[in-house]
Amino acid sequence: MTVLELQRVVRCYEHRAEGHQVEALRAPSLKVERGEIVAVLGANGSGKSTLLETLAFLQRPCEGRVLLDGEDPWAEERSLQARRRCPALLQKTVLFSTSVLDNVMTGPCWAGLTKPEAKDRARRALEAVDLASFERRSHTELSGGEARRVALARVLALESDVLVLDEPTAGLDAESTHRVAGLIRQLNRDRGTTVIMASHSLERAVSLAHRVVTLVNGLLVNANLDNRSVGTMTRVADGWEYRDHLGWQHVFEDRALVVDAWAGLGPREGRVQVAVPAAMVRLGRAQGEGPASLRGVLDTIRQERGHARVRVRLPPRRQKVRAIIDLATLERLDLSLGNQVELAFEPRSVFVLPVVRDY
Amino acid sequence: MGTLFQALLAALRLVASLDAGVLEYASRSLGIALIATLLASLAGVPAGVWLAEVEFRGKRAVVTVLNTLLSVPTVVVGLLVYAFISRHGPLGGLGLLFTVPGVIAGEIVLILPLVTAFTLAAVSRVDRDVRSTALSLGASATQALQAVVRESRFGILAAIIAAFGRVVGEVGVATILGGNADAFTRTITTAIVLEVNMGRFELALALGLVLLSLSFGINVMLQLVQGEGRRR
Repeated sequence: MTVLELQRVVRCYEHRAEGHQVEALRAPSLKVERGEIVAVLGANGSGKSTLLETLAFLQRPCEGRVLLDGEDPWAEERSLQARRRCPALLQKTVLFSTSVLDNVMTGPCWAGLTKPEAKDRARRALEAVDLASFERRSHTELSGGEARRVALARVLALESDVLVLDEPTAGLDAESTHRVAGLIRQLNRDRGTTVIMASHSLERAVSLAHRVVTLVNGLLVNANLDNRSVGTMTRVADGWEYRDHLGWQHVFEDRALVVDAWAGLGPREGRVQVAVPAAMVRLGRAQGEGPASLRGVLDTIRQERGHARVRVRLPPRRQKVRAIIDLATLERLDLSLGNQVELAFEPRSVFVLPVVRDY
Repeated sequence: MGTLFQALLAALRLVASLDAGVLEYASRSLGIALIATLLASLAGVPAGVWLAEVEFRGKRAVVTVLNTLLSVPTVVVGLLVYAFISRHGPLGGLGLLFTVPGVIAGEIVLILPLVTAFTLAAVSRVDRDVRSTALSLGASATQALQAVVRESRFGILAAIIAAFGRVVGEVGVATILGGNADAFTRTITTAIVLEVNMGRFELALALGLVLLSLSFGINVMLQLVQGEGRRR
């Protein structure tokens, strides 16, 4: 079930010096399903924070609609309720000049909880971020990383089923980063919390999120493709397209394929990579001319414990695509090297990523 | 140098002996400054917050005028208010000229721009970040505004201190609107001018010392309040 949805959203702001409207974000469509972790990737200034502010109902879009449970809070003058439902950890850490506990209690108090209830929640949230012993500290007595975790606790104390987190681990050391990632995973698993998070780390985003969406110069490159496979992936939802496939670039372990592509809409364009995790590729016997999918020749099969890694060579440029399939499937298909096979995957398995050199 | 030292000694003696004149002028100065600061703050703080919050055409012009008013000479403010409350002025019927309430009215006109402009600056400094943080945590518009004001409280307090300082040490308005009538409107500063003119240097210096210690005492008090606030 869709919790949050963007429909042809455009966010713009007035450029003071030049006196005209500047477009900061264009999001043709985005659906966030209940219980999903969606990571937003993009370079600095690509519009990640703008997108998250829009999803947290902090800024009203100048065009399009932001739906929460299928309803439009801006149109119904219910943005306060929407904000309370989708609390956000903003990129900049701003603590109120009071104690750590009071900081974390603020949100619940605003929501109308009594002080003892708010205090309980604040303590639970501080415990979750490992700062239980800090509750009496002043906001001035915290390191940058601790302040970030207090800010995270402040959002957690609202105990909402939707969280919008703008780079939650920015400025944290490796251990805290690991803990926060674990916390997000745990909230998602145990309480079904829906999380939308911006991340500057591709690694973390891909390991934590169910789905990754990418911003290229303010344009939301959505991975919810209409098409069934990369083979026909020329047109993407809402009328913009990958204009020019630069071709298969390289293939790597655990991601089936990476395609360099240009994503563009009018003047906004930039390079992205389209990737599919190897575990999400389905392998089948080639069966004549069917719906678009990738066809190739089985190149290698390597059996491992519980699964097999296979490699398929695709014509016309002999790119190699990896897939991980379970042994039962391998047996059922009765494949041997040199067989014609077909690769397919769900559009939802397609990750559109900013171009990162360090694969 | 010797004269100055002797004058200082004499002044200290006067202060120590709780000279009736010194006490009277001091309490009048203090009273005028406190009431004027209180009333100007009651109007100026909300006005500053409001100006920081709203966006309207010509806001920058208003802010520029406000900042200009900060440096208007006190005698000019005195003259303007004089024109209003003198017998032939529009508010002449109120009989405010050469009375303490008249002086207070003039001082309010003097410091209102200061309180407003400094409050505006203090609120603007924290406004954006604190507001968006508050909103992101589910604050209503009113709750977010409260958070913004709470976060700028030290700046607002500084505005009030500065306003008090300006009133307590000011001569122009007090002279023009008060008339420096001994038993009615004479304040420390106007008394100092008078005593110096009359060649009574010790008394003038004594009054100066009292004025300084008044300011010092109030600033120490406010420092303590601020320190308390910071520690929490």
